[in-house]
Amino acid sequence: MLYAIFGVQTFLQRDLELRNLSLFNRRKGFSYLFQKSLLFPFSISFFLSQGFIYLFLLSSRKSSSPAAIMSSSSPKMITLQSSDGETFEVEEAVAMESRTIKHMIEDDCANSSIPIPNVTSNTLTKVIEYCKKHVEAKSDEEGLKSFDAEFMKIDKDTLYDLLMASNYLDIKSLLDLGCQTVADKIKGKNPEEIRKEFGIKNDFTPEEEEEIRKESPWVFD
Amino acid sequence: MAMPIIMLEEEDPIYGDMLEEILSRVPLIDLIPTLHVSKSWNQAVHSSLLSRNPPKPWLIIHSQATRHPYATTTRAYDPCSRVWIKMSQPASIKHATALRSSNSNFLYMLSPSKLSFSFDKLNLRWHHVDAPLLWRGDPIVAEVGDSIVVAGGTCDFEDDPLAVEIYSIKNRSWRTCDSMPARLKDSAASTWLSVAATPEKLFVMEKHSGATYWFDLDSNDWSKQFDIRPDQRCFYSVIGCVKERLILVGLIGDVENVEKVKVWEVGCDSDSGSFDRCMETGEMPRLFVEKLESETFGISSINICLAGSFVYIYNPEKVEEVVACELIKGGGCNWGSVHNAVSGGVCGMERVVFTCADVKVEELERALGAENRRFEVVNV
Repeated sequence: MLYAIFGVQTFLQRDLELRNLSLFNRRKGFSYLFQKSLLFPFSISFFLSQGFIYLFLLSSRKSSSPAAIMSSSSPKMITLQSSDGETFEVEEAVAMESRTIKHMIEDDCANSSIPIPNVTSNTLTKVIEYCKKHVEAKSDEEGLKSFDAEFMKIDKDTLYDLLMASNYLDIKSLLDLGCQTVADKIKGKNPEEIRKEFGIKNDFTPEEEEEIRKESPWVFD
Repeated sequence: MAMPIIMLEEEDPIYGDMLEEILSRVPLIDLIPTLHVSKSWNQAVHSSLLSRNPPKPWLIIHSQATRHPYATTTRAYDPCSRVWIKMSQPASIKHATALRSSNSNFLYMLSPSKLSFSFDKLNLRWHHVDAPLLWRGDPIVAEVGDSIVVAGGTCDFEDDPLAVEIYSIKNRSWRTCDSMPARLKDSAASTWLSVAATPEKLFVMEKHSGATYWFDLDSNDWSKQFDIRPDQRCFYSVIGCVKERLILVGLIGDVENVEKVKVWEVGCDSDSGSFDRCMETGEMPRLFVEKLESETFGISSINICLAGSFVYIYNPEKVEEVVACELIKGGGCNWGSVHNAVSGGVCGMERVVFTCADVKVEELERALGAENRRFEVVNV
């Protein structure tokens, strides 16, 4: 492009020179001087403008502003690193489902990969699967409901890990879903069944147990 | 909502804030077993109920068969978890006569020989005392402090229609006192009068005219007539009392076409005994007014029961829809509706009585334990 401008400018100059020659032939004196004096600032301004154009192009190419990047078609990717070293590349929109990560991106701390120290790769895979689905199918309520129901068909340990992860990453919808699933496991059970389900140790002393037996015998049904 | 996470091998897998968050999603009735799982769970349940998910007053529906042996089914609605719970009655409670309710959680049955009543929240304990001197068919009965006031509703021609008798629970005896104001001569029955009670006063309002009186238990005096309806277009109103607040609910328009249902809070100055202000708390949205309209009768009457910050409003002609009004601190209210499959319909084979109670987890525990009741979550 610069060459083109240079070429045009040269051509114009030559054209002007030729014109000046013809003028020179026709008449001398003041008019000739006038033409020449016009030519001089004209070419100077031309050179200057080219310089400015060149500098502008140079600076815009080198800058890393989002405007320049967004003009390309692929979405921005964020890298997440689990506690056991595995990395996951996710779209920014998917990563932003986590408020913790969203704040990091907004505070501009997310240039290289984001470490997630409390979450293993297995759990992080599930979390990303959840977030992806919820970003993709945002308006499809029915579809999301059935997805959530299927998604929660997991074993206890995975469920607890998911709960901890969604708490740390601050993903409200996943936390709500997980908590409700566990709450549903509590409903309709007596204390012994609840202890078995959650692996809780009964820390009431024998005397306290006796008190309970007297006041609420149904506990031992 | 960042909570500290410490991974310890020996600890329970779920504890602390996470456990409380989970427990706040468990219905109150299912929380009772969790109190006995372990000490930390017991603490977590109480903390969760205090801060995350405080219980809301239950709407309790008693359906009594109109034929001997007058079997009664009791179902309660928990607005927090939106579940219906069937409460079993022990065989020892015999409902020999018509069950009635008054002032939100007072249930009573009156026969010529006996007055049976219950005033605890879940109506688990019944008291049986001798009937008042005068035989009454449809009196107003209310618990005022530790006395039961029975007024009006006399059946015999010779009896004073305005007679009032008071039963002292402490002394286990009846006494008579001044009759009701003469103006109420033709309407001295629970069909025509709405009652509300504080520990010291009984408020009585004529549902159609709005004429209101109060009776002071200490001085045994009836007040002069008050007209506390703020809107002249109000043709029917009822009163109720919760936590010393007097609530007035009125129908505006006319019997053929009820335009609005409004809720007011009425202030009563305890020194002068007069009603000093009437503030509009809210107006029922049109959607809910239409739910209360029965096909044949529109809304010719309403009744309310209140507890905590909830006012449940229903049309006795259409008991399957109840509108809940939650009074917000500082003014205003939230509206919701409760649909129940328990209807007095079925050609009037059942008598449906509503009560309302601010049920706490301790009361539920006692009901399950000492009182040996069974609660069962039903799909209604």
